[in-house]
Amino acid sequence: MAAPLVSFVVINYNYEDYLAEAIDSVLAQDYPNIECVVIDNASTDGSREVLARYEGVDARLSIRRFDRNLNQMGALLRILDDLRGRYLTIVDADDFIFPNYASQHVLAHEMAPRGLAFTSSCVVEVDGAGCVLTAGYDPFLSNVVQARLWDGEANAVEGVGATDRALLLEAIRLVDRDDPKWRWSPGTANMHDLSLVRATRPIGHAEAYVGATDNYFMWLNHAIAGSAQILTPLSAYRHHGRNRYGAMPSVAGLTIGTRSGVNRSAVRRRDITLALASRARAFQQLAPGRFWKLMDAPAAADGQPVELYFANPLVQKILIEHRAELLSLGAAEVERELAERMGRKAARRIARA
Amino acid sequence: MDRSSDSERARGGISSHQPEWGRVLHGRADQEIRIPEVAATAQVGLSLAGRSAAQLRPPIVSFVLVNWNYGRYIGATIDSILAQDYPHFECVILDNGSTDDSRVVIDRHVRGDRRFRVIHLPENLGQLGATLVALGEVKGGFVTFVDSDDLLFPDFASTHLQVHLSAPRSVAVTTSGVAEVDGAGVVLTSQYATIQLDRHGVAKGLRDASTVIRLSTISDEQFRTLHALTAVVPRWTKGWLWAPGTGNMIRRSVLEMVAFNDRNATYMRSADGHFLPLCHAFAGTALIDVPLSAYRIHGENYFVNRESLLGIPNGTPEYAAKSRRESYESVASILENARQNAWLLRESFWRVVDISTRVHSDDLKAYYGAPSGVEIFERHAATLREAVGDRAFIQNICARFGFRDARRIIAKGFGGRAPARLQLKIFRLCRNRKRMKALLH
Repeated sequence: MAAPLVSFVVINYNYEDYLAEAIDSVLAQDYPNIECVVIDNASTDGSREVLARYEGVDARLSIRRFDRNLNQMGALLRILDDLRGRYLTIVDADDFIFPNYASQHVLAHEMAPRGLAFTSSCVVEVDGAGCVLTAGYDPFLSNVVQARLWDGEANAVEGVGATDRALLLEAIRLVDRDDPKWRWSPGTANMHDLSLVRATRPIGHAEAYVGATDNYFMWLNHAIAGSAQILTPLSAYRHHGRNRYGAMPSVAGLTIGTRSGVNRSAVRRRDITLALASRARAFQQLAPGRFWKLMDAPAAADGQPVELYFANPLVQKILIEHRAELLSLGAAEVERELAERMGRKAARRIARA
Repeated sequence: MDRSSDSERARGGISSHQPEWGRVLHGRADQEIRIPEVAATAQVGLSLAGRSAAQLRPPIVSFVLVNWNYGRYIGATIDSILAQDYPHFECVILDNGSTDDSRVVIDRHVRGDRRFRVIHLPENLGQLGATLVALGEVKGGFVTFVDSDDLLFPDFASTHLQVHLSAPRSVAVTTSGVAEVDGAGVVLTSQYATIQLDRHGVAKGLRDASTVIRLSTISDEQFRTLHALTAVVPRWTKGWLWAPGTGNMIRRSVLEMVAFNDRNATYMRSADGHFLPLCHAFAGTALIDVPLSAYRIHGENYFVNRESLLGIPNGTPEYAAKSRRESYESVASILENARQNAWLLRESFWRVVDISTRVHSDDLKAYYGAPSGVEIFERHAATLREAVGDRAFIQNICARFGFRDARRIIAKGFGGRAPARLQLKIFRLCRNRKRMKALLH
């Protein structure tokens, strides 16, 4: 089969020191069919000068300059409908990918028994100078799925050699969509099914949506279509002291991320509930019979019992606001399912308000 | 180290022949330990799944060499660092107020190599004190404290790094076997301080060779050997797991988590005694059952603390008392950063506090109830309460102290006086021995 197009979106805000390395690493892919959109989120450092050097150098590259910082998710949403790829990787401008990133990820997608939401490869954590610190992100390493879940020959993909195919067959693990644990690397290490990202995108938020794309799409889309782990490191994650989420290499057993970063992420995950409740019929159609599993995804992410998540008044407020849309799934079903998650009284209050 | 004499080679077993790794690794009672002679290389390449990973820069190893009047030996130690087959290192030498010829010897052996930096401290800050100063000077991702009378084998750094980068999970510490040599560097015995792989709960082996970063200095065969001779020990394993002195490589990010806030004080104790148990409790240890360094027995060893002024023989009551006094400093270092540590360790915070005492769980209450124990908890009570929350604070203090002490510490946590409603609660909790015992580790 022909090599499907991969869309890389490099999103930059004031990472002039690392931006060129990120772009170069995309353009150096050994995979034949990519496009690369670089977004500058109104940087105030020397990023513009860096980008000027890339003007017109490569037909696969386009540069978009925003006049204000839309943050990572906001920037992606702005250009999401302009992308032409079948797969999508959002590259943080302080990370970089290895030359076989695209070929391995595409192959993993193409050889899977059915369409996956995304594939997640192991990362190398490096310091500000690019020196290796770890050969894997701990939540990935400590949650590797043991059994290889399919054994078939990989489909041939144009431009991907037999050696790469053989390597991948050994190094890939399928994560079942009913398995709600974070078993992935962050951000850049993930290649998404672009049509699924389009279908599940958050709608109706402020244009400058503050929030990380992985914290939204990975929980939700995995619960819809499942994912895969690629055990070989295919990208680097840089700890340079200005990271938004965490600033230390991950090691066995220690909490990852700062207190404020983790709390921020937990708050933003309620946007998954908002998307589901406000577009219940669309999600029911997208993933027939799985609506309530999707509803549990943000709760599982916190590692807390679902009851605790649904007891949160802010979560209940979302459900009440979108009650009419929810009830279109059938009043009896909604009340029953909500009762399992928040008790009968609260469920009745929402379903019969 | 002089390797020119054939007679010495035969006697001692240190050979300048090509490395016979397989034999070295399995060398036990009757076999000699061979140290591979490797020409120092300018660069070590990294690869991933058989492809060059030139886009990644090799990790930097920081050697920290604290010296106090070991001018006789430190030259050979420096030479053994210069002879590493892994060139991407820096070495900070802290001369801890030496009064012998150390300064001259150091300069002669460093030979202006720019990877070395020498800092002369005007007075002896103790081994741990000097180490804390050095920690502020290094930038590598991995740190090895080298005793100035020990020797590293040329593949020390390569091997430790390869294990750090391919253990099933990223750990805090790697520790390797140590060969014993005499003052002249001749192996005394082919027995070396063994690293026990067969422990309860260890995870043996490395990740699949095709999915890890490989160093060009570790061949496929050597990787397979390492795979067979490596095991990760869970964080909760108590007791001493590590090589004496040199022989460990610790992640700097974890060292920084457990270093004292006051980096310029005098700490007359060994760096290992503080750092290794705590770093292990934070993020685990990988054991490497291969001798990668040599420990000199020269009749002047200063036992564990390596400070002649305080050289109290191991095993004496004075030694035990000194160790115990020092351990309170380690516990205090966890408490003074309780806010950070409670976040990093979450539910294992109190377990790490208990492990940092290094006493058996049956002795914990006596340990905490001693005046030093009460004092450090009183001093950090407010920080502790803020870090773990009122409920966990009260319960865990009651589990570790008798009623009177618990009341005092909790009162400190509440700014001097515990609310009246808590008095009865503290009393009841302290009396509920069964429930409180379950909170001790």
